[in-house]
Amino acid sequence: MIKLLKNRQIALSLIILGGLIFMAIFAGFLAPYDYTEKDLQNRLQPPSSNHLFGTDNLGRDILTMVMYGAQASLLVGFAVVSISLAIGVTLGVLAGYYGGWLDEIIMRLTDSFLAFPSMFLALAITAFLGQGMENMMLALIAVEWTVFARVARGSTLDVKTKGYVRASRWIGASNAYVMIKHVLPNIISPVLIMASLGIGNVILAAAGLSFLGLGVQPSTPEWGAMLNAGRTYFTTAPWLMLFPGLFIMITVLAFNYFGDGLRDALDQKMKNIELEGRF
Amino acid sequence: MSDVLLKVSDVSVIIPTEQGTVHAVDNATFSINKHEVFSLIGESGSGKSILGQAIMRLLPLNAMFSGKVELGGMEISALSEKEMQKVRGKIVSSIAQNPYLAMNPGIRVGTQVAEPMQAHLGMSKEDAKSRTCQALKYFDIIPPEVREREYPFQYSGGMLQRAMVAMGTAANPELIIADEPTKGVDVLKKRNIAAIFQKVASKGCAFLLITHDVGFARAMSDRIAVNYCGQIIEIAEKEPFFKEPLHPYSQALLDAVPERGMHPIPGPSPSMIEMPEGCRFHPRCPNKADRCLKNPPVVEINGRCVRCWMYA
Amino acid sequence: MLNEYFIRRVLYLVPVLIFISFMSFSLIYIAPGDPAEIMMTSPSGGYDEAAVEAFRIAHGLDQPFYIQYLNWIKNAAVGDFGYSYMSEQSVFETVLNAFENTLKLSVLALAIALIIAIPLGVVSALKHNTIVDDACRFGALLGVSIPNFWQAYLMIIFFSVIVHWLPASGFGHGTDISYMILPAAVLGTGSAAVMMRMIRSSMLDVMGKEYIQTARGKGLSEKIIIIRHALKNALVPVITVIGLSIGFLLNGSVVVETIFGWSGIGNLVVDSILSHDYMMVQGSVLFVAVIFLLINFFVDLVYVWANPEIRYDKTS
Repeated sequence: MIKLLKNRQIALSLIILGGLIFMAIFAGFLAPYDYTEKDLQNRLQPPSSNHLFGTDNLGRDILTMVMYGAQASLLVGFAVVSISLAIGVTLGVLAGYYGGWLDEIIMRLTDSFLAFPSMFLALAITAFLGQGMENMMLALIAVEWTVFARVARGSTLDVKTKGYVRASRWIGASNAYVMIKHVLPNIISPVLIMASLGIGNVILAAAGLSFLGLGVQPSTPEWGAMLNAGRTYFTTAPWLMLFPGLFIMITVLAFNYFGDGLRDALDQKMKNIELEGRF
Repeated sequence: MSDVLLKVSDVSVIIPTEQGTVHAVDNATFSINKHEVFSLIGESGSGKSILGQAIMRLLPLNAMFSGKVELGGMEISALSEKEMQKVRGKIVSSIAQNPYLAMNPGIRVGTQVAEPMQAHLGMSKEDAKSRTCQALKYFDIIPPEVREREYPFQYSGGMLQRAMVAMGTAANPELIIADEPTKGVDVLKKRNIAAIFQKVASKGCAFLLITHDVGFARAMSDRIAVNYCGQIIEIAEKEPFFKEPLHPYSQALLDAVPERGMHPIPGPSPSMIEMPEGCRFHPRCPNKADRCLKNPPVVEINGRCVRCWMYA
Repeated sequence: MLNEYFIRRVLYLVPVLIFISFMSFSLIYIAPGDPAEIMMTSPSGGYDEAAVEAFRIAHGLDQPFYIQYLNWIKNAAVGDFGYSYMSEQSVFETVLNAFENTLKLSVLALAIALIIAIPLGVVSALKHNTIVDDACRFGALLGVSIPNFWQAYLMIIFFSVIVHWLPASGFGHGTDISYMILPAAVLGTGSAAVMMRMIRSSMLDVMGKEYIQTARGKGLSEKIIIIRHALKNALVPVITVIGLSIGFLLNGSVVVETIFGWSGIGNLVVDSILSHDYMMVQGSVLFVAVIFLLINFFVDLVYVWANPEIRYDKTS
């Protein structure tokens, strides 16, 4: 564990992530202005000492909005991935452990969801459910769970053949016991890696959906939505788009860097997990 | 004109690893004459293969080499990589253990066999091809024209091994280094391998046979060297060696074969990272004495040599 | 052997296809509101009660769910995805057209991606653990982390606004390549990032194999070893790599086409959603899913075919 922290890649990305999370949690404290504060006299101001990132078309301070935007993105990222993880890992472990027709059904189900390119599926679900953060999260969960199901199933299959699992069953341990005490702890590594990469992907997707106007409500400070709002002014006031986009990139980069570093450090068969850049 | 083809002088190889520094080869000194079959026998993991790699200059990148290797009078251990490329495959060639791993699965066998001919004999593609077919035929890979165009996965194990030998002898090298040619191979196939090697040796090629298979070494060799824990501890002509092995380890090794009763050598094999002080075999030696805590000298007796205090 | 495998894979497709169609069909039922009303809503937002009734009867919407599904499938299978009252066109034709355009963009993007990824991946592997390698790997990570809509605008600002080399957006009748370059570049660089890592991985793998050591033992020059022995084997996964990129390209097309105003299927889906043209959404999603499934299936087959060993010894 400590050895992991000594890894430069992991440590660096954790620091950045820590900073971002801190910024998100304490945005209320740290932000120089209130994000609803409109100052129509000072609309579309370029970055200055008053407004480090400039102001938008309604005179709102962009730095403030970027800070609050971290809340939305990180919240969506963590929430979607946690729920997807819960669903996916459960199904994956069950499928891998029991095999047989349960495995077949779950695999076909997973394949079906995976048959849709992720963005299209998310769009379709959002389309029919309607706009809004919760609906967007539902759509993203529908896409993301499959990743965890696959990884969990694969790792379960690996672990299933190991000596200690078989021994445990021979001495009469119940299936549930084996799954919880033996399988789960051993699939933590790949699942953790996928979780980190997954948060990055979800943040990108959520920003993309919001950018298209299909994610969060337009008035919410959210990086993708901010980019959408800044579209009209991209030649005249490029800072509207510059900073939110930059922060999306840094955040996703940090998660990817972390997941990457984790994978390299945990080595071995984990090499199969590739960054798919799904969104 | 000297008869000596390969002269290895004081070669040492050290490999740093996470677990510590491995002293894979320690001051190896021996020579192989032209047309001679020379076997280096010893347990798995005793550093024999590394010695073979060191001669070919194909050590892992982090390995540290010291000493001198001379081939046909030329100091090959001092050559540049480009110059060494002209030596490999042409004057000294190596034959690996597992043909399916050693051959490129995505390239036709004929092409692979022809490569040394094109690279070292300057042959054109057509000439190399016909010579390849001749070589395949010589090694009973028939029909050669068909086989030449096939891929490794289409060959049987034995046939691919012969193809590997054809590949190794393609440019008529003077010395062949064969690393564990009979590892994991059953008795019948062993005989086939012995037959092929003898065929090649009969044409005048010298061999450095690196093996743990004592019986195979006995059948094939002119001279034997025994390797223990990175050191060469005995060198002798075949008959004298098998009649009367001098080093306690050699004696124990020969006693361990099934024909003589399969007596195991007591004690664990030493680690190549933390070696015993002085004579590396002394913890397991029935004749151990106090002086064995100091490095024993290499003693020459009757044209043989032994690294042991008993003969000092 | 191969046939057995092939048949098994085809059979696996069937339940998946059924699931997909079922999911696409059910989409309209998760929307709040009555499906008939939704589908009959005209651009102005209203719908004619009588027409809705007629529609209901004509399309069997008063029938039980599974019968509706079967009818829908029957139609879809012969290419009748229905008619969109919103946009007043046949859904299938529109979708097909749009897909063609996306295809054009994707092919160019793939070409760009391969041109970038293969050399960088190979060099990165050959010089692994050096600065060159580190730089390439970081670049790839960056490429995957950058939001494509942001990257698009950055490129537009530079290439259109600052240097005026390329048009900022537009379709240009689908034949003028200058309209394709920027969107294809955005899609391509993202793909390249994903591909580069895989190619590097594959190359490293190959360079560590024993047959490379054998080749060195034969005294072949490093150049020959790389080109003849390593590259061929290292690039076999390129087929899979391209297959994996298809998903990336399709996903990316949604945003990229919207930004650049390229009339592809990504743009179509987004537009349809924003204009509440649910028939079109349903049709496009089903179409894309089926095509995607078939492409992946095909890529899988090609991969097996390209690996002669797997051909003769298959355990899925």
